[in-house]
Amino acid sequence: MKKVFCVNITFNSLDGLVARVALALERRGYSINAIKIETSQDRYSEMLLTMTGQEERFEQVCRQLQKLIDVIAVEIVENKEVPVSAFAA
Amino acid sequence: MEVRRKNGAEILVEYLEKEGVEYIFGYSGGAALPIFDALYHSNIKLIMSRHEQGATHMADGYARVTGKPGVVLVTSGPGATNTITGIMTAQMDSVPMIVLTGQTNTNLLGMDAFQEADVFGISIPVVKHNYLVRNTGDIPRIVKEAFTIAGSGRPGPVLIDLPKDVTSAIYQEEAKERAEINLPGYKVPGKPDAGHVKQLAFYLNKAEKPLIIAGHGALIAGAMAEVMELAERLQAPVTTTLLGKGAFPENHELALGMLGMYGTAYANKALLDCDLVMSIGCRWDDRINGNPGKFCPSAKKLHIDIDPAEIGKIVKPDAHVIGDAKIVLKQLLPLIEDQRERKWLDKLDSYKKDFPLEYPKTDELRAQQVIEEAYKITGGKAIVSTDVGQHQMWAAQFFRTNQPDTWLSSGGAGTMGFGFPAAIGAQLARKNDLVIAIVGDGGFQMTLAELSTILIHNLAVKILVIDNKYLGMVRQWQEFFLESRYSGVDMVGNPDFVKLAEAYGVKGFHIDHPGKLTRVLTEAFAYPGPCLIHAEVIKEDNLFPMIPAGKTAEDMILGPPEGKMEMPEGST
Repeated sequence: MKKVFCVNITFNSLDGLVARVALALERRGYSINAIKIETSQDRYSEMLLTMTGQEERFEQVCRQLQKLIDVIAVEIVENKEVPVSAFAA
Repeated sequence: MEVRRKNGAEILVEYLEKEGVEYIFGYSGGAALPIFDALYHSNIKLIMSRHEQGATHMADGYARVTGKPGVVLVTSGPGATNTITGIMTAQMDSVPMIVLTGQTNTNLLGMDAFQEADVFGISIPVVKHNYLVRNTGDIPRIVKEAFTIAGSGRPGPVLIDLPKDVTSAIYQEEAKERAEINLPGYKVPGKPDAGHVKQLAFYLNKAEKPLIIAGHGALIAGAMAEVMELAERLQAPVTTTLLGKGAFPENHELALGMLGMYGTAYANKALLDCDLVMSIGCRWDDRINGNPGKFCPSAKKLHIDIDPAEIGKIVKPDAHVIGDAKIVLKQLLPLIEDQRERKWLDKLDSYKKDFPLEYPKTDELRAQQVIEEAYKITGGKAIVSTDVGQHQMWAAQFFRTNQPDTWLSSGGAGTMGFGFPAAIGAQLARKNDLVIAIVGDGGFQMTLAELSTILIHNLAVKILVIDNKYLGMVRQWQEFFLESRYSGVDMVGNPDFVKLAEAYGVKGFHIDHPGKLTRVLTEAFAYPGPCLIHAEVIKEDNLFPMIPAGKTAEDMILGPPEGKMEMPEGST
């Protein structure tokens, strides 16, 4: 069954990161609903991402995101209905 | 005295030398000119291939035998894209590799420049990690990071795309000051969780019929001694995956050979009979587990793996430990209770007697007989590389592997053309060992141009071409599942392989009858130089046992099916 999930990815380098995340998701049948990226000079950068895909594959998708070399942490954002305002500037 | 500043390419070569690189397998081109120039005075030996795919498989074979990353250097555009197959092959089998690709100038990126391709983008899904270098000063850090990533944890290929202006530029500062790696997101598992190890021991000590599957992870960790101790103390039989061959000696009384789709009947029966199955560095791939939903339903499943993403991906284990197999087993062994005997080993011995690997011995030459004879003549003391297809599975069955790091086969990717160049890489690493490439007439023709390479470097590789004039594996499936509608498998037009070898200056031998087999193989294996042995075998023959894709060990067939079989639902 397809559900909407939200994760917050902490990462080190933006080089190719959006492409890496998008390909990892696409390959496993997940589509991206929204992405918000906040880069920072003095702490690690963050990517807030909502996506839709098969519930049974969600845990594996998170592990594959964690496996990306530049990803430091993948945190599941429990409230899956993240309001659009979270993506506002 | 003014120190001459180095350019990016010279810094690159300096840092490759610091990593202990002996060989670079490559093919030149415009965008990589600065790097090839920097190599001119280096101690690193350049092995020029005849196709970039060959270069990647050579680096792969070198890496599988030594455990060190194989290094590839190619030019931009088509040179780089020709490496994608080889990179994917390495990724699927967790082989460490560094691929250096020349690239057009940074200001021309995205401008459809001559021989420009988005190699960074194209390679993302098939690498462990990749880089596009935009600043010459980043080269030392990137080289160090690349080698760290490629060779640690679960090994894999790392690609570094190097624009020509970056490698040509003179670096004004001290390069070594920028050489600190910066990988906060990359963590290799450390000390295994003691609680998890205890759980593993709990299940193992309770089991009455435990079965060990040793996979590639056991070999990468160098855990052979620990696997042996565990098996002997538990009195547990050991089966290996295709990539795990060599993790446990196949001539040991507890050995069951390879399991799975074309594995031995007794390994597959053990899978059905066991009450506990433990993977040491195997990823429960669909070649051994066609239907995860029906896999060993009543057995406890344990999993030791260094990659956390593999836990629960296909099989949900009852207990698992994340870590290096050798370290985990060392922690586990003190908790294991010794067993004197196991009743079910008698049962397994009877399976070995009743369902041995066998083939008809007639006056027609068969692949199985050629391979079995090769094993007998060499006593198994050879490094064997295979290509892909029926011959690969027969080699896995009949050429037993008793030593680690002596079996090279493209498992996850099943890349045709792998066998011969991989043997070249292995021979370079092991100059004094006998290296045999067992290849089919199909796969050999994909990378045969590397015949030049073995001659130039005088590498005494023995190329055993098993020629049945078909793409046999596909033909077998068409026979069983598609009423013998042979489509796209007829290898009509094969050359005379002996004449072909001799055209390259490589000695050729020919066998077409069982009576000639022993004499010719013995002579060829003793030949002091590279040679090709053209073994013409019967055109149509089938691999058994076979578990059709998507099925379980219960559906294993040991001989030709009665009628047409249902096309398997599982992946090919």
